Amino acid sequence: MSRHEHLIAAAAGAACLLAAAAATAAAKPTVAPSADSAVISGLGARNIGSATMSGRIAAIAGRAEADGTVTLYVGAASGGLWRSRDGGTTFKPLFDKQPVQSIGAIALDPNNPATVWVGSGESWTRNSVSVGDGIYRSSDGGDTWQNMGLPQSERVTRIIVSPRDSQTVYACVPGRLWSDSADRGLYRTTDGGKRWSLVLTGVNGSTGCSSVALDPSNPDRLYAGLWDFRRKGWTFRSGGEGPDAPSGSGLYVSDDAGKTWRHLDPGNSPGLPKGPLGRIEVAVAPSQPNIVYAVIEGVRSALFRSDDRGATWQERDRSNSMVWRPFYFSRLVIDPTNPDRLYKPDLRLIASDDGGKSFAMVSGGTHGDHHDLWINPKNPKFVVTGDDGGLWLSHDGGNKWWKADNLPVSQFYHVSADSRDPYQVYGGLQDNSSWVGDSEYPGGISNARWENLYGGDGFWVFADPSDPDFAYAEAQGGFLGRVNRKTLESREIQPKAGFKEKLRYNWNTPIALSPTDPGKLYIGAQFLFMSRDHGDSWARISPDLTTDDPAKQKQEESGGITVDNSAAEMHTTIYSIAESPRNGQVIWVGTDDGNLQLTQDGGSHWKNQVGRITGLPAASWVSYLEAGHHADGVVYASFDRHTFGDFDPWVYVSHDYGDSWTRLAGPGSGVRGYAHVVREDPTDARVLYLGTEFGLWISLDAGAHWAQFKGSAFPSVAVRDLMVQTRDHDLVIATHGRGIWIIDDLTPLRALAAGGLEREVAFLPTRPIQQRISANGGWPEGDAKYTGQNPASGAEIAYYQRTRHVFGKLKLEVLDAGGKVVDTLPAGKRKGINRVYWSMQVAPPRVPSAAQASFAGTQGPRVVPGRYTLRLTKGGQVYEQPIDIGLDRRATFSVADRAAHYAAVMKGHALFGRMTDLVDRLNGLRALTQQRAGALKDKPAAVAALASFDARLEALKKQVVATKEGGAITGEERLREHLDHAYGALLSYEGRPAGYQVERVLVLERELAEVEAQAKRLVDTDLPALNGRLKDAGGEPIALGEAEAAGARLAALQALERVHDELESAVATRDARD
Amino acid sequence: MHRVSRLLTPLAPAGLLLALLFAAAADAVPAPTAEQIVAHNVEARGGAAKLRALSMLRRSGKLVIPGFNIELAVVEWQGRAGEFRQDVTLQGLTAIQSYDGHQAWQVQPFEGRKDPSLMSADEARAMALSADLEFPFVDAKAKGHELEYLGLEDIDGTPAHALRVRLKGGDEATYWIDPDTWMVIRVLEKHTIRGAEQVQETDLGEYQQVAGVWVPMSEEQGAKDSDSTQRQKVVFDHADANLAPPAGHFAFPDTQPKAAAGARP
Repeated sequence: MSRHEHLIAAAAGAACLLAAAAATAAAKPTVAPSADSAVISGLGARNIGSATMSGRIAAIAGRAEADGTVTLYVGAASGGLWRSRDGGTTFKPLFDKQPVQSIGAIALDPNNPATVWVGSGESWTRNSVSVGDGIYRSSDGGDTWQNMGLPQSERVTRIIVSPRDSQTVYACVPGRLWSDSADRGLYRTTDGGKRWSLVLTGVNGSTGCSSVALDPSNPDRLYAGLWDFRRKGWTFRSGGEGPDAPSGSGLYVSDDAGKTWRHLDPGNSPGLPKGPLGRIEVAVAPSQPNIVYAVIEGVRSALFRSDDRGATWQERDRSNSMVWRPFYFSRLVIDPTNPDRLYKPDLRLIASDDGGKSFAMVSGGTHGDHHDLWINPKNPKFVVTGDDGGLWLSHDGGNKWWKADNLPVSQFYHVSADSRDPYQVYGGLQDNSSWVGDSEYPGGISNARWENLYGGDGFWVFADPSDPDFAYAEAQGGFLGRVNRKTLESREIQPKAGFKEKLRYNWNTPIALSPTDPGKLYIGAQFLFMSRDHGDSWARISPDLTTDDPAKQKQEESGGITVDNSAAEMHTTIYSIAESPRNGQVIWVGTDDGNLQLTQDGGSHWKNQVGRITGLPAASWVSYLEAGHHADGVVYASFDRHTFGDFDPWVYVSHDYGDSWTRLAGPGSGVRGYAHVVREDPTDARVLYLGTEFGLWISLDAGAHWAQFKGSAFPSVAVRDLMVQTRDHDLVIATHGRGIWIIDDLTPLRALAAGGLEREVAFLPTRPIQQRISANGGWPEGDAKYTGQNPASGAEIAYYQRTRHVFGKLKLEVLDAGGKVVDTLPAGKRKGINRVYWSMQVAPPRVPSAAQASFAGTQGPRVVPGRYTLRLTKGGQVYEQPIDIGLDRRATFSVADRAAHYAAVMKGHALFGRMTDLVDRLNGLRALTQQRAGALKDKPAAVAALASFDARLEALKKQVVATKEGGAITGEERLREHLDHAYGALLSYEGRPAGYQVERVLVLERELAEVEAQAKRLVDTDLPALNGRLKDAGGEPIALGEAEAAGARLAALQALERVHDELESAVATRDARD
Repeated sequence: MHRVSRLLTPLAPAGLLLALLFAAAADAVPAPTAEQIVAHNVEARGGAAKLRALSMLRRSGKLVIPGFNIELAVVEWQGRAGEFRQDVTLQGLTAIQSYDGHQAWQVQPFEGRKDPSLMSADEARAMALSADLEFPFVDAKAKGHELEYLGLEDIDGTPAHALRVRLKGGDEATYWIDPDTWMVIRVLEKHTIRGAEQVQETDLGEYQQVAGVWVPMSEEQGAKDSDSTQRQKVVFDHADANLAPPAGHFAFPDTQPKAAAGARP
């Protein structure tokens, strides 16, 4: 056996071993060597959007540039920072490589346009709010970032760069939301962020900074609001525990750049409200800094204005949209050119032109729930606002609005997929309803390929597996509906309470489909309900599975000073449901207050297994349950303790129905962030997927090691749900901030779980390869629209490299059954998994050169389905792997039809080649004719004969190809152009070709044959006569072989772009020189 | 048509040894300076003398455009005097983009026009970067560029040294250098064209020695952070050093109609 054969055999053997190992993996998980992030990230992922339902925008900053353009910085609540340099037409993500994606504040240095400050961690502290990890600075407009400290700040409300000194920066930090902390208040740096001083703090561990404003006429004068705030899983307070309870909130002023502060109250600043107070926003009018506004939450929440730098105040507007939900809406923005014009982003955007005495609603067609706003100081009619639905731009001062359709920052809670082909993806979003979209669509997945199904906030959404014309969707608080996909009629089917009973549905109420019975549906309140008739009736199949702790059921008292009971704090509820795919009688239920319940008899008996988890603190929120696919009694559980201020992952597995547990992820596991979802691969039990607040992790050894997935710049965004589309083996990822992503085909990943990471190079198996039908779709929509990415087209080729390939050729070839090389492909070089896609096309035909390109002629047909061989050559070693090409599952034609199609196309393919040969011969004869004419220019008779012969050659050529140049639509159609149409028609459909299309190629072949015959006659009869004239004139005859050589040479020059000529010239010059 | 190339370089055995030694010691020493990174790169590519001796590089191969499944023949020239030319041929029609060190021009023949047209000064500036036979970080100061070391960054699993070059004309390019081989493995170019920033990312690989200098024979170009499947790829199969190009190869062709003899203006 040669070394080459040995390597091939070794590769084949390894592949067999992989297959065998994968087959046994389901039965008995084994521990494999760990795979790091580099290994797994080569899988790549694609973002399918959508930007139709964008996501919450938390902060906006902008700058009117000297050249008339506008630069915008947009901070998403949980989708990172984005920049537009064209006034909002296009956006680019700037924070993809940072460890957090929640943005609280953005500040542009007024003294240096390259310096941008970002405070991570949103301050609009709703129940689902994410977290940050400090303050960042960029010195290049946002392309690169440096974390400048305040790592425990968790969130930042506002940043101000002193207009006098760029090194002096103030950071307003409300601080940790879920626990006490001393790391909160107003921070100041005077050295550009190297060191920070806490210059204003609250009176307790829950009071931080809500607002800071600087007097531009005196940068030492600062106004700041302190805010006492706390959230728990079942309640929150803005201010104290109630309207009259003590609160640390207050309004403060400093005249010495923050060194000392004075508390403003009604005693020293008449007109201000009495405490206790809640959230406070303060703003200074840039064009008249003696005017100061403050929005103050209190028992009489209102807007206040001071015309004397805070010495005295007047109460102004206190309409509903001024004081609605102060913890969530608190921003106040004053027109930089007009101290009396101000905007209050709130549930609705309101604006005043009279200094806050009256306000008008200017939300127009925006989504609502506004959080920030930017006014162009050079054109105050250009206004940009951000709300729970995304970013909006107005060019008339806020009367009418454009939506930014290019920001895919959608905040999904959950995701599912159906079994259509291509499958559709379903998901519900924070404040943006429940949607269904395409996983693939010709031309890309435009915003318009997503369809709204329901309303409210969206969570779980499923196609009805028993009737594809229906879907289940829900709004907050478990308002479940069954939606008719054809009419979009939705029937509410939420189970209702009994006599004097209250059902407790979580904000994110779980609904679940049975994996064993397509007609069975579950929903959880404090009881588990099951329906077998699409919600026509419900059976209550459990007792109260929660702790039923009355102390956690006082949502009517939630909100602190301003009552706020929106269902977002509903607690002691069921939060996760998982029926075993192996046994429909086994159902797991997890609750938000820490119970983990199991029934093994379809709900007749339940037992709480959470006490068997050693080390897990009580009352830990069960964020996800996954019943094992491969063995009875297996369950995975993730617990989310961030509502207690604990951001660590808590992920466990049990193999014995919950009697004993093993922790799979925690501190030191390499996983970062509180866990939202854990899923077991349905094909290979060694492969686990884990979504946390800070990204996606994958394990190939049943949880012994984890690696963060970073493929395709997948950011550290919250991964709230995951599902494997089992037919296509895709991982569908619901992010809370960056929309839906898909990792296509997990097959190569599973193969690595079987081992082999120590190998230098190895082919990896893929899912069955189809020749997916080519189709056209989409239409130009401009640059301001987002389009989701389709899966790569072609035959997937996957291989593993232990290290990055840097030196020497890495050659990837495809061979047919006869061993002939069909194609050579550019090979991937990265470490770990590489994917390359083969178009499955043979080489395009040789096409004669003409005035314009033959566009159909740039393509060869796709090969006939069957077995082909991959050959990878690296460093002299050769690896081979067979691949089987199949038809598209949707194809209505057979492989025999495809063979007929291929044969017909190749007839046209060959005809192009014959034309090329003829044109090459004619060109060769013409070249020699013109050369002879040049040599005999003093023999007019010979020159005239040569000219006559050349004219006949040209006339023949003009029958074959179009020759009119100039770039216009000449409409000149010759044989080549006719063949281009016929060939293109054949290429357009891969089934059995129509007879008239085949006939058309035959007709063109006959027409070409006529020209060939004329050419032959010219050569057979006219050329000898011409040669006689040349001989008589003392010239050199034209030999046919010489002409063919000249034609071939011309063709070569055309094909190789004068390469040979250049080379000969260059080499000769070099040789002469050397 | 997009250009998918620019000149680059490489590593000799001595350079590799040096690189390995440096890498082994990397944990124990402070972060390297930009100048040290450049020195390693130059040494690895073959050394300053061989680099200086490279006056003209010509590479030929194929260009693969994703999505359209079109392969085109490509030839690129790069000259020490700042010349650059890329010819891409399909069905005997050759598209050209060329820069002679002063102005850039192009021919786009596929819709019937073969006459050349001038490119803008902004585009010429971008092509000037492609023309740099060395990377611009080599002798950056002498070339009028500013150099900045950004630290180690993850490039598809390879922690690579990032060097940012603020180019003399106002554009910017960042180079990521593999600390094991000291080869450039990724380039991010930012050019301002008609007032708008254009960004393109190119992965380099399959380095091959030409006249003692390592040059990349594989280039994949696309949007920043784009997948390999979305990038156009150039695979060079032949490279020559110090060939003399045809006369006037880089200059804008004289296409003005010739005045008739004796004609008066």
